[in-house]
Parts: sequence; structure tokens; C-alpha cells
Amino acid sequence: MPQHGRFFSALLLCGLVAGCESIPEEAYWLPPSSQSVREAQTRTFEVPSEVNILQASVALMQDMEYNFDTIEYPLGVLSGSKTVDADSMLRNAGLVAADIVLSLLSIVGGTAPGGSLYAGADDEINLTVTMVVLPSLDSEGQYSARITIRSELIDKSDRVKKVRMIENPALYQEIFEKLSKSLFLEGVK
Amino acid sequence: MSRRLLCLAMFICVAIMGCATATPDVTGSGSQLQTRQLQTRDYDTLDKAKTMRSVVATLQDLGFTIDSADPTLGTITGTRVYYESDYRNFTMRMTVTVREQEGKRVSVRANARLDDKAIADPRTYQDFFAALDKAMFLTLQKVD
Repeated sequence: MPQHGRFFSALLLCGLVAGCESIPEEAYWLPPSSQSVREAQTRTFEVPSEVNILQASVALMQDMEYNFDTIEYPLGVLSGSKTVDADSMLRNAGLVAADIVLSLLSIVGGTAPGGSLYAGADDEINLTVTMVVLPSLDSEGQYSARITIRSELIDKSDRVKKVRMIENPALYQEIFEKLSKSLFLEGVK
Repeated sequence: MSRRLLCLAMFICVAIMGCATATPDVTGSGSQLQTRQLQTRDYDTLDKAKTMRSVVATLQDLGFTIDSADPTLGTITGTRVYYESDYRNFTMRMTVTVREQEGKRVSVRANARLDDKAIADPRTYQDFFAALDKAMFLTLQKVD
């Protein structure tokens, strides 16, 4: 009987702890990005005016099929988002799509595709892009653009399964190449 | 047997009621003055526009995506998610306001929430202002 008493006391303590599930300390910390990530996310462009680079950036976001959530002109902030089907992203995988899906599904959890972390048939990915385009501080006629992307894997019950910031330099390289092409298509020399 | 049932019932009640509060936190918690001191820094190096530029750069650097920005009111709001494990994601939402003060001073105030709780942990604000100090310095030195 005393053993049962101890067991139920332990159970009661577990209940207290479970009832107040704590937030990990790391969630409060704000470590800065590394220099290499910052460099990969940033490019400088030489164009005749700020309007040229902003128009090309808006067109780029549309080319990549994002909807705008906020645009703030003097601050040069363009934020957009889109939701995509995880399966179709893998099927139509370009570099961007493949990186986002595969890293979300396997690298974060350290599990190979096909393991328990693999996306289900109905999983979706929310992508949020922030692009900041501003006149360069040190050279006139140059504009710097920095892009950051957050991806969230959502399961079929609409619960957020995984979240991460995209850091793959090849992906940003691909986006900046698209921005150069966008400037060309807009007739900017 | 009835004692076991009683203990089980108590366990369930404690697990369910563990963190419940009677009334919602409508007006915020903590001392108004203390909160402001923790969240505010004054700068006398850059004007409001350049300070806002530095704030945007800082938020991007710290992994926030920008949700909204208003240069007239000097407000910028961003969101950052900390991923611990599957289905354990913690969302931090931070609003930063930049206001011109007397002289050439500019005050920057950051306030953040982590999921449903206001952040009173000084570490968060120390990390933010340490990164902002660096960004302000780089802007002053005209480094992009």
C-alpha cells in the first residue's frame, strides 16, 4: 500500500509538471546569422534608379508566385508568402523546391527521407520571403538587396510540424540570378 | 480502490488546470517603468531613417521575417520561429518603435512576445540591442 502511495504521488508530480510545459530557454535567445549566411543572402546591383530595382524585385516575387503581405517603399521592405503542396514541390523540384522540401523533411531531424519525418501526402509548406532593397551606403548608384526565407511544414491537421530559415547559398544564388534576369526583362541597363 | 480513483482524478485535474488563469492578461503584467527600461535604448549617432534601416537589418540578421513597417510612425514588426522538435515550435513576435527625441537623440523600443506570453527575460532584449548596436555602427561607417 505505501508503494502505491509513492506511485500515485509521483504520478501527481508528473501531472503538475505536464500541466505547466515549459518553453526552452533557447527560444528566448537571439543569435545573429553567421557572416557566410549574411553574404549569401545579400547582393549589390548597379542600376540607374531605386524605382528600377524595386520594380524588378516586385516582378521577381510575382515570377516566383508569391503574394505580397506588405510593401514599404522608403524602407525597401517587400514581404510575400505562398503555400505549396509538399508532394508537388518534390515532383517539380528545381533547386529551390528540392532544397526546401528535402531539408525540411530530413536534415532538420537527421532522418533519411522515407523515415518517420517524411511528409505525408497532404502536407503543405508555407514559405515567407522578406526582401529588403535599399540604396548602398558607400557607393552612389548601387543598391543592396537582402533576402531571407522561412519555411514551415504543415501537416494535414493544419499543425506546424517543422520550421526553419533557409540558409543554402545555392538557393540564394538562384534567386539573385532571377533578379538579374528580371532587371534585364524590365529593360534596365 | 476509491483512494486510487481519487488520486487519478486529482492527477487529471492538475494536468488540465496546471497553467490555467482566471482572467486573461488584458493590460499586461509587470511594472510599466521596469518594462520600458528593459525594452528601450537611446542613440545619438544616426537619424530616424537610418536607425529604422538598421533595425530592419538587425531583425533580418536575427532570423525574423518582416510582417509590417511604417516609417511615419517608426514601427516595424517581425516574426521568428524557434524549432525545438516536431510540433514544438515557439513563435516570437517583436515590434520595434523608433522615435525622435529632443536634440539629435533617437529612442528605440523593442517589445516581444513568445507564443502567448510577453517576454520579460532581459536576455532577449540584450541580444537584440547588442545586434542593433553593431548594425548602427556599420550604418554609421557606411557599410552595407
